[in-house]
Amino acid sequence: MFFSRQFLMTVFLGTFGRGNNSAKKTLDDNGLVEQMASGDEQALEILYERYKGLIYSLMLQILGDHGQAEEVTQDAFTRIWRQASGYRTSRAAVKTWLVSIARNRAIDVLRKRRRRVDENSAMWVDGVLETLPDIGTPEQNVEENDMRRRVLAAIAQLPEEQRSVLALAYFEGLSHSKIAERLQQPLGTVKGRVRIAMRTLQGRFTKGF
Amino acid sequence: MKANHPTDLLPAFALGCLDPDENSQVAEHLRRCAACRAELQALEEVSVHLAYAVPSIEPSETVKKNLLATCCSQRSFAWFETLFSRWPRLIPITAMASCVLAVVFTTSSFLLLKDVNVSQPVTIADLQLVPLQGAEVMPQAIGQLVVDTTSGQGRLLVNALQPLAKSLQYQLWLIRDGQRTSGGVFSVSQNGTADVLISSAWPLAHYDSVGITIEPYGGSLSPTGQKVLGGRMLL
Repeated sequence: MFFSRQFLMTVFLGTFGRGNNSAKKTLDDNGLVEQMASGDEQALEILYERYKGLIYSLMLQILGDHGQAEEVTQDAFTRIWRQASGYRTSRAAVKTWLVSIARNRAIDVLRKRRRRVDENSAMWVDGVLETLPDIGTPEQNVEENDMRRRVLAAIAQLPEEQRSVLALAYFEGLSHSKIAERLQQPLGTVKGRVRIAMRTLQGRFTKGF
Repeated sequence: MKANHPTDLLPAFALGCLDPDENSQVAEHLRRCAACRAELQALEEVSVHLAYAVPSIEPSETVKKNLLATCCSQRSFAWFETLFSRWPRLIPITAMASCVLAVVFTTSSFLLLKDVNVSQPVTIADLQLVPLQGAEVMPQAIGQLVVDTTSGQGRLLVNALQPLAKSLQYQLWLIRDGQRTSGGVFSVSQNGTADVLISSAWPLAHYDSVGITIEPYGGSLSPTGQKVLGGRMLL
């Protein structure tokens, strides 16, 4: 009545739940981060299992190198572990926080290296994938695969010129002026394409998710 | 920008693709504009969704193993990090308290070191410990008188005294103003140890020092052999 179920579950686990891994799996991301803030490494393990595929896949797409992708993935989760006590739910969802940390770190590595290992620009996967690999639990697979299909479909509907500027910004961390230079397009055009692509996706994701 | 809100730049800010000067302007605006922060939060969700648009691949098990090993080693500091991140004012207070405690402990340790001298008796509640040191003939020998200051009675504990021939025994002498009174005779184990109840008509505080000599079996009326252990009472 006075406390949310999540809060009570977190307090209970914090008091009695060390070692009760299955009960912790029912916690949402915020609950896990609260547990991590008190030094519970099982909560970290569960959060890692929940998002390892998402983070590692993105790191690999950005960096194009398995070793570096694994290194940055580990680094991102380590940072979450260290900063768990300072996490505030009002600022961003845990997933948003994690993806931001990991992506920023990968782009830092990419900038220091100056180019991707395969020397080609990372692009969006063409079209909608009919078969996606199974990862995690069955529920997780269904939810994640459904999300992937929807996102890929939304991106596929963007005009090619918007897709390409979005890929250069998202996967390579290029600024407006660098994208304009790379594509030899006017700066204003690039800015407009980024803005329209993001607003279009925002509208589609809001409706469809 | 619309009505001084950088609405058109927020999508690029969420993606991290603004050039440095525009990025600084937007960041500055966001510090004081809750409406734009809320708008940015929604756009950051779009950025997260884009992560689902890449082929899903699993990392190797090594990543998890290394992650848990790294984080578990840091676990012992998590409590302090939690405390200090929530109450940063505790940092200078804790630092100052630590300095004060360090000074107090150093001073008390120094004073204690001055007071505790192995050649001086130590009083523990109603007990007084009188250390005995080996003489030249048995420098490795050590002993302790444990004196009950209330009753004046005590025990003698010795170690590393050489076992003697059957015709000989050790004898304890209680000394006052140069006068020696027998405190008892004893033999030691093969390890050179003994625990002896001291026999004295007077409370042990009556004497100013003690000595142990090697005497014929059964003891002597006055010391005749070499001194092997000795110490000052100073009760």
